[in-house]
Amino acid sequence: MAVLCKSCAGRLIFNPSTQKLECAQCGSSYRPEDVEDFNSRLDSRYYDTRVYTCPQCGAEVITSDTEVSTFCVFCGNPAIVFNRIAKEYKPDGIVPFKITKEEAIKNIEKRFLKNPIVPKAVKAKCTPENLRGIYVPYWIINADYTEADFISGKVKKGKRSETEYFSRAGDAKFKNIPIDGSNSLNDDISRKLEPFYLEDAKAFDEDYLNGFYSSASDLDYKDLRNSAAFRCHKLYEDEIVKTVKANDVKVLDSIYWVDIHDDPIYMMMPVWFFTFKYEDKPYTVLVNGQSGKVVGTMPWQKKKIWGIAISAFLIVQLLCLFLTWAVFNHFLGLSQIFAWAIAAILVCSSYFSIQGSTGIKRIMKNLKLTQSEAIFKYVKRRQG
Amino acid sequence: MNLFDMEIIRFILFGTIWVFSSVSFAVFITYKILNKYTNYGDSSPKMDEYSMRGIDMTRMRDNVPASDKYHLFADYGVNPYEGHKHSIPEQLLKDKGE
Repeated sequence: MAVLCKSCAGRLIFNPSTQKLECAQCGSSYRPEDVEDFNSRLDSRYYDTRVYTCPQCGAEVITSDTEVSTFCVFCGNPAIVFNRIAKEYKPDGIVPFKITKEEAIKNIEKRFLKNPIVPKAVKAKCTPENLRGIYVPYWIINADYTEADFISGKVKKGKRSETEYFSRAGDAKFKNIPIDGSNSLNDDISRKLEPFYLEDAKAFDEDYLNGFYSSASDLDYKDLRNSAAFRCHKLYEDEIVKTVKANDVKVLDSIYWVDIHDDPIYMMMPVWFFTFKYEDKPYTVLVNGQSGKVVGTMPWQKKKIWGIAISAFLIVQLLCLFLTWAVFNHFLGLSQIFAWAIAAILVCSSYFSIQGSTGIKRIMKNLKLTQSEAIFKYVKRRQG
Repeated sequence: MNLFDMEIIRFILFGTIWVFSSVSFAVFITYKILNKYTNYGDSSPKMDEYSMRGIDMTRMRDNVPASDKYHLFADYGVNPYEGHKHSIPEQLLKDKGE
């Protein structure tokens, strides 16, 4: 629950830049560990949160601060109504916000400056009202892991390349892997937000939540084990393919087992959510509240992108036509050199074709994640 | 085949190759621009961030026959951690509540 200033009884808000609770009225500041939580029993495994409801759009505001949400930042309604007190399981620790809202906006804006592709309408939406600081639940686990993989790769034999098979198996011990504790937040996105540095972690104190929203873990042990197994598998797979000396290496089949050590740690991690709508589609760009890392894919001006692609196509076409003409007409007597240039273009184009098409596929996948309705609603449910 | 036919074949052959090359370059340049200006934070930590000693290899065989897959999965198909008991935090139990 909200704590009040000892000097003037004004509300205290956690300031990431000073790492202190500051009074908005008299400017006094306190260390969170020095402020007594009157409404919280130290021995309790739960803490109280306040749930507000917006009568206009139905969004739910979850906050431990009594006054932070005086208006609905999703629909702008100035009168949100207190609904109920809810009990949440107390996390073991918290990584407090280090990046202020202004710094988070600056980090996003850095990408916009001199950016000819992102639409102006989107740039205009990067305002403090569209940014929400949410503590996202994570489980920090240690685990033993075993995996066996059957792998294929192409090996050069003289002038030909042949497919060969490789079998690999091994164990690994993982330490402090963060597993996103929310089913609503896509694991691909939460993984990209990493790393979070646990050196900055503090014992959980609800005073750190003042001024921010928070969310509780909705995983059960089976969910956690599945997420942990998949996470370890991704990390392991990236490494195991490096042990195969071949080209076009593919893991054809794998089997893996994970054993999570006792007592995973329940942590709150700081994330800024920048949500906006563009051409009726929701977008959510995230900023790691500790490191400032920006994650997401912005919409682009389609006309400009098509213009660039067509211009590149025409330039290469003209170059190719010129080279062909030069070879056949022995231009400047350098037809041999022009012929080599044609060969170079042909070799490069195969490489560019594969790199370009896989790269664009990846960007489109990331764009879909950024446009995820589920993440947009996730923010909305926690007030936004 | 007369000279005119040869010219047409040459034109079609080179035309196809050049269209392929031009499309490849255009796709690559478009990807580079989109990646630079719109795609942010497309990376995640590698294994060494979360594992001090890396992978302890127990099987490492090259150039095996395709049938080796069945032997591999027969050898490693049983959960080595089966039967390990754990204390599960209250928050991760389905029937939670105070």
